[in-house]
Amino acid sequence: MNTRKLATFLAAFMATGVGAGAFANEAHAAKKKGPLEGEPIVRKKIQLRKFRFQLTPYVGMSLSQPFVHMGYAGAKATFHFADWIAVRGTFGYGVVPLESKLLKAINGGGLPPGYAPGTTDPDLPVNEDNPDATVCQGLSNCRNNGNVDNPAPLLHDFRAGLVRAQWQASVDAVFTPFAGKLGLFSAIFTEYDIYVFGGLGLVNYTKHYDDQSTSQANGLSEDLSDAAFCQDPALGNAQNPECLLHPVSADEGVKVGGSFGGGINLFAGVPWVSINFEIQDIVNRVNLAGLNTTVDDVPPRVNGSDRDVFHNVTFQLGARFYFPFKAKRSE
Amino acid sequence: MRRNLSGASAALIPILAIAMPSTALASTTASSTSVHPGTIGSVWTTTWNGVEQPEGEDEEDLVIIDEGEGEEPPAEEGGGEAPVDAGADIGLDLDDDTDSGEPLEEGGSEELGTEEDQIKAEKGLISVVQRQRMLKKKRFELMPQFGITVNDPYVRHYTIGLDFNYWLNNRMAIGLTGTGLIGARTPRYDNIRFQEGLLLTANRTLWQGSVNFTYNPFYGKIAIFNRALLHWEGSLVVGAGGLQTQVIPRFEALHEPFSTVTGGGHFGLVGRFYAPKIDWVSFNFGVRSWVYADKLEPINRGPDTDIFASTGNGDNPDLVNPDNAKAESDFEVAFNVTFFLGVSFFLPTAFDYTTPR
Repeated sequence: MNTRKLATFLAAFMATGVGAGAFANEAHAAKKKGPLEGEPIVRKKIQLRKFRFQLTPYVGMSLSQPFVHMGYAGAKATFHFADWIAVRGTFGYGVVPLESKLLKAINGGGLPPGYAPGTTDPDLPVNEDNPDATVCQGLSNCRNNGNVDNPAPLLHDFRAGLVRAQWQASVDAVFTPFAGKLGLFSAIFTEYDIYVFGGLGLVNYTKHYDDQSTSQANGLSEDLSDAAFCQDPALGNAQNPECLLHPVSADEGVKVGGSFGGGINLFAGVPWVSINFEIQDIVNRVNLAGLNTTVDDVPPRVNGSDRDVFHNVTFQLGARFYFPFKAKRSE
Repeated sequence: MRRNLSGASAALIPILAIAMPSTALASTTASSTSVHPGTIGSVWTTTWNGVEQPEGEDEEDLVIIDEGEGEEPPAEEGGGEAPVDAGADIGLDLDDDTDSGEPLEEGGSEELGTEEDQIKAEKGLISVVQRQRMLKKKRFELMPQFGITVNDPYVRHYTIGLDFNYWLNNRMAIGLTGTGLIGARTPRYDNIRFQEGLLLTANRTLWQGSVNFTYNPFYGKIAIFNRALLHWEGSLVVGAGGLQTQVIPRFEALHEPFSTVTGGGHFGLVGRFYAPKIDWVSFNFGVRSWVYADKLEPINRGPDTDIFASTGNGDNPDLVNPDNAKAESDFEVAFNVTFFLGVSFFLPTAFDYTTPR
């Protein structure tokens, strides 16, 4: 039974295929090739990119940073092998760091600052019998009694771990499938092209503040395998609660990731300069706050699993200069 | 309207004058036409914004933009003949010796007996000045769209909306927009909660509705690998209307959210891309930025209510009631930026050109 069904199906399939093939042949025979078929839509087209080197000084700003926005100054160097394909290298250095509203709120009381070394806990009455009982020992701020149940780290520990994107670089393949003319208000006409790119991106993160964490300030061991792990001599070798519960490790250094984005070039009336707008996203894994995120490590630790995927999105505005200045025309 | 003609184009002016004794020549000369000597025989070339190219590279010039399409044809001078039928093609036959000047039906409805006839007919479809791809005047536009908000790293909205526009002419439209939003906290919100022990104050938007005015000053073409041509337009949109927001309680287990119906305005950009042969569809993308007044959850709405009665510090127990919390909150300026994709359907589904090709 199955064999009969299969044979019927194959026969029908072949008949359909043969019929379709015959129809296609007939249609093909009827269609006459037009004179413009396969021809470029624009002849003598000015090739604004082919075999031209392009240098683009730019300024940029980050769009996605939760703590520290950054204004960049940088440059892109591009070479087009054809009008539609190129390779490029980019570099931008952060010159204007701006603290976000969230970071200002954190600094303005969002996180407990604690009380300074050598001072007494403002939340506790002075112990007449032992006045030193509530004095902050060591070299970093201590948690006051009112915040003992607060799961937040002390402000200086947060600041010690906070990093910002200091510079970024990428090597990309650039794909320019779209190019044309643009009319604006029927008065301004210009050439433009739209491109997308993808490649390898690098972001270097550096500490935003010079603050030291509790462990760093007091020279405490953060090595779990160390017998002196978080033991604080100022506390009689008891474990320092900030070191134990709020570990900090600033995630500094160069992070490698993917780079992608797109942009547009609007030529400025001459074929050797254009205005360049671009959105670039360099995706990598980083722990911006340098604090523990996960709940499955006891005691809490800062490690690779606390990093999350982060999009470093920047908007860039530049002037693109083309070398040689003169563009050739297509056939 | 700006047209620069050259090369074979220049030779065509007399032909156009014969074929369109009044309208074509009038519309050509009324604009900032410039005629340059060039190479007879080139099909067409691009221009460089009116910048003269040096000798030897002067296979110039043609800007294939016809902004006047869709507008009323210019007044007849000297009581000339009526314009040719809308939509009819004025044949541009590059074979000078066979030029008849006869218009051809678009799509070639003539009987084409031989291959030679067909080639001739196809050459006749080559026009010096391309017409604007899509005319929208006196047409309705329905644009379903979906999008995503991009400005708030802590609350992400997915949007579903509908634009309804009526185009007064090819440049301006009035319309209505309605959008529903589905908002949720992002992983970034939770990250800050885990790392810094902070609960952020944030709102989600439930819906937006507005009356809009659209102005369409941008028009362009895109050559895709120099093998296909796509027409597009860019619009500026401003509008005003209402929206409803809802607070995301910091302590969701303890507190009910409250909503606020408020007003605001928006501005944005919409790009429309037209398919080569469909007169009633465009594929769109856009950005819409709302600016509005919003009420956020009061900062002293929380669980630490024990000491409030005695000290006035801590969290206010009265604010557990969402109405009280709303009354306690002040309006603040808020933004909502949405990137969206949409498809426009135009009614009626066809249009007629009012100027000859």
